[in-house]
Amino acid sequence: MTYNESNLTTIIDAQQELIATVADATFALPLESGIRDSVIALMEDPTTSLADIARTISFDPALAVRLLNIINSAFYSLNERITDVTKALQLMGLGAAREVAEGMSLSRLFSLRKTDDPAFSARQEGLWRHSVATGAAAEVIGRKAHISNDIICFTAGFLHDIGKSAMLTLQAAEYNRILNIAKNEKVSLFVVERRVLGYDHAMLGRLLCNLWGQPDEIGVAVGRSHSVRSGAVDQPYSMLAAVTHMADIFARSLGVGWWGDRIMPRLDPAASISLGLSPDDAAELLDEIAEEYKIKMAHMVRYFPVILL
Amino acid sequence: MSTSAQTTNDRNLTVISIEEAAPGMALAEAVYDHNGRMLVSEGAIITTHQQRRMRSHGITHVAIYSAHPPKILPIAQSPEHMPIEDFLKQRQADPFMEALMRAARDRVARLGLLDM
Repeated sequence: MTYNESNLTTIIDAQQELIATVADATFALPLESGIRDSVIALMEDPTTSLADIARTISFDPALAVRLLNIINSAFYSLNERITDVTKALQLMGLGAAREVAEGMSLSRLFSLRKTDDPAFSARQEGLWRHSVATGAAAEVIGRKAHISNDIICFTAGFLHDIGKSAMLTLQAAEYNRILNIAKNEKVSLFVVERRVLGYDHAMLGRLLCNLWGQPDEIGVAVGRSHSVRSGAVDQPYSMLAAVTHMADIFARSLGVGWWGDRIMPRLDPAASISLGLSPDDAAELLDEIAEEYKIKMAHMVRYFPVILL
Repeated sequence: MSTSAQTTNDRNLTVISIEEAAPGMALAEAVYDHNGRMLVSEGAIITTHQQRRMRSHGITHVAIYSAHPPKILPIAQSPEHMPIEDFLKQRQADPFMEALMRAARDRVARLGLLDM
């Protein structure tokens, strides 16, 4: 099946059952004693600063985006658009923020808990590391190219492989087969996914983002992380998709984590050109991304040691 | 990270490198400069400003309180992944990709893999 956004509806129809399964599983998964609890504990600790809480929240992009959406909603009728989580917490108050935090947590989807299957755990953790690296990369690239804001860029990068995580969790046997085919034929995972399933993890990721009420620009960026151009004339070019596409490539260049195949994705030159990145920027960006990744991981180790294996 | 983190037995503290110290962590021991002047007192919460200051004074490691000593995999790469050196041999006829892959190979040769 040819992949472009105009036949997304057909695919949605064909995959209604899968989506329903994914949706059920997503909402039925027990909340981890991970990020959500840490955020809530931090909120109760009088010695922590709003900036620390905001930083912790950024690891749960769904929560961060939800908070920003709420603070920018008509309910608060602010004159300016708030893009900074710390500012949102100040304006909203921790009580209200806590209610939101208690209602949701997206990082649980990475199923960062010990299971009986060590291979599954290792893959989920590897995928999560790769996602943190891609989020860090998107943040750095977005800053460099003056695109959107840190949280939006981080979230798009962090979620770009959420479809893989869902497939790994929900279609374990079939996905193992797909992983093996990709390995033996030395091709990208999304190529095999499309052949075997009729859709790929980026498309599934986009649907999940929509389902969770993420801003559409994030869903679009996740959906186009392999092919930046939409393939449909009526779909505008997405700079955030370009950021996400390049972030994935940078994250793989760092080699942290696991992403399922052995292929470096083909860079869409439109992405580097539209973001104004020249080959001379590559080395410096890579170093900056490595630093940002280390900062994010140090933060994780500090606040969520329980969810690391 | 796991290579440099050491947990001592007497108290619940962990020695970590200054790079690993994240804002919000509590110092388990005071930090002094080379002249014996105290830079940060015991129990202080590390801020980004202090982190920068300690680094500028050449401090490389600090002790932090740690109720849960960090436990992470000793290597950042998953066991089933192909070696990064092989992965980075892939070529693409694009000037940006050539520059990036070269930078990535240099980085790995110089610094090895990120250890977290």
